[in-house]
Amino acid sequence: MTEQPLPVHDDSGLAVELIDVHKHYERLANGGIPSLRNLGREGRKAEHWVINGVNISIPRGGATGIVGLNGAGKSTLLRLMCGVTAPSRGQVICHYANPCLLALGAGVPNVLTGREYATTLGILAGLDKTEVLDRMDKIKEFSGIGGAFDQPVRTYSQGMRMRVGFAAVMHCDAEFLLIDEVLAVGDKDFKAKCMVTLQRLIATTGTTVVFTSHSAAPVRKLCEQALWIEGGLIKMDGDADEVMDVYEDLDVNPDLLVNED
Amino acid sequence: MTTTASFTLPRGSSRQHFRRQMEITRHLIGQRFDAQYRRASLGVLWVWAEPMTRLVVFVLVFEKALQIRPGGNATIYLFVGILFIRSATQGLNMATTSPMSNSALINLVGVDRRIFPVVAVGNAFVDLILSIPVIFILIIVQGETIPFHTLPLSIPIMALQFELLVGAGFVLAALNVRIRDVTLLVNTLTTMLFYLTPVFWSPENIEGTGFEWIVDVNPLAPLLLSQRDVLAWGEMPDWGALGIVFVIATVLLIIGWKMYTRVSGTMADHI
Repeated sequence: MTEQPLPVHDDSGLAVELIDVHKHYERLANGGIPSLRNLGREGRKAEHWVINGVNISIPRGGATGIVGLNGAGKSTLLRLMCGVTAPSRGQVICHYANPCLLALGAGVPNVLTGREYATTLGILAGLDKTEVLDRMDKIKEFSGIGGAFDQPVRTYSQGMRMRVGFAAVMHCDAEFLLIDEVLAVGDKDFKAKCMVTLQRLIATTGTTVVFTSHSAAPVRKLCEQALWIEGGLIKMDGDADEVMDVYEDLDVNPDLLVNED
Repeated sequence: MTTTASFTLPRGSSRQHFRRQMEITRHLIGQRFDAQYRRASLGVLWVWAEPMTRLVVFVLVFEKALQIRPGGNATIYLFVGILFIRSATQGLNMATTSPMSNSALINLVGVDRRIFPVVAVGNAFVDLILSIPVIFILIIVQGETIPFHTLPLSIPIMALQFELLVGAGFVLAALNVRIRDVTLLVNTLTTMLFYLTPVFWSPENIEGTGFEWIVDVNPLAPLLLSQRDVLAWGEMPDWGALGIVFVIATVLLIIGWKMYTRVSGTMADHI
């Protein structure tokens, strides 16, 4: 990349650090719509704590998987790591100037075509417009959606949106990639292609990848280390395979299986 | 929240950051322009259609029916007024709702949310600048002369209007993140502003009515009157009044920047 040299003074060897990080969202009265009514005492009181004090250091290079059930705080953690949302308490230190978040449903302006969406993503990832346009053919080819690439994003399925988003991000020299659950909606072929590309990026360019998942398989395949989040706390972390062994055993709530007996 | 909470990125990249954000700002302004006009069959002609139709109606209603004579060439007077007030109200409305209309971008990294109000006001200015040639066409059609010696002064006055609108836009957008009523309030206020700014009347029209203060308290009034002076009449603007506007705009910009920066970190939680 032409204008984004690595900050040389940074010899911490870390991608991102979270120091005693807490995060809450406000639950507003009035159906959650911010209004004058919520400025009063009653409307503001309810705080919903999602992250309850975590300390995490993600090293530079390689992949880290974050697993946990729905509502465990995986997505919030990812959003905190790249600054989409600020912590309520604690410190987040991101060592990359241009973290790149890929999340489902987020960041897709419906009126744009796939091509324009990819251009915007590329520019946000740190490229110049001309650089993105130079790579557009490759992005289009990687997305594999053919003629739909020049149709509005609102006509896309979830899978197609993800394909365009992923294709753009894969070609933008991102140094720090945060992927939120998006692999889950791709079909088998595309998932495999993404895995191979991610592995190649990690191996050749030293990209740091953090991604969330419900399931253990992609974490085992891609990651050296894993974090297991439950109730906004780290339940277990360490070697990916070890964490996944425990996670898979405890994955299913036994109460749900009672009727089977 | 009194305990420390912070998010930090690598230091020493603030100039680079600014350059990137400018590039993104340009991209977003261009993208909206494309979406609005380039894809329409009549393209950029639509930028002119709206103020032209307003002009026709205004000439009929205010000049012919209500016999309001603002002084000078009434058609040119009205058109310059319409263009600048339209751009101002459009910019204010769009800046106020800019955190919501950019909700897709809020969930992406790489874009500093402080560019949203700037993009909104920038969009309104693109329309304005594209419409300025129509003023000259009108001047020629009306048999008047284009005041080339004062034209360049229009640029700093426009820059001042930009500063004022971005400053006000930051304040209103910041409030709007926490109080959605602001959208509706600003809609109402900008409608009022249209009638309370000398667009189809001039300060001379209200002399002796006891309402002269309407012009004095409205920072858009001196901007509008000055633009007419330099673009149409070939006269020097009222520098004193513009100086006061500059002070107001700068204060608003500083306050607005601080307010907006404060809500910017958790904006994604509220939109």
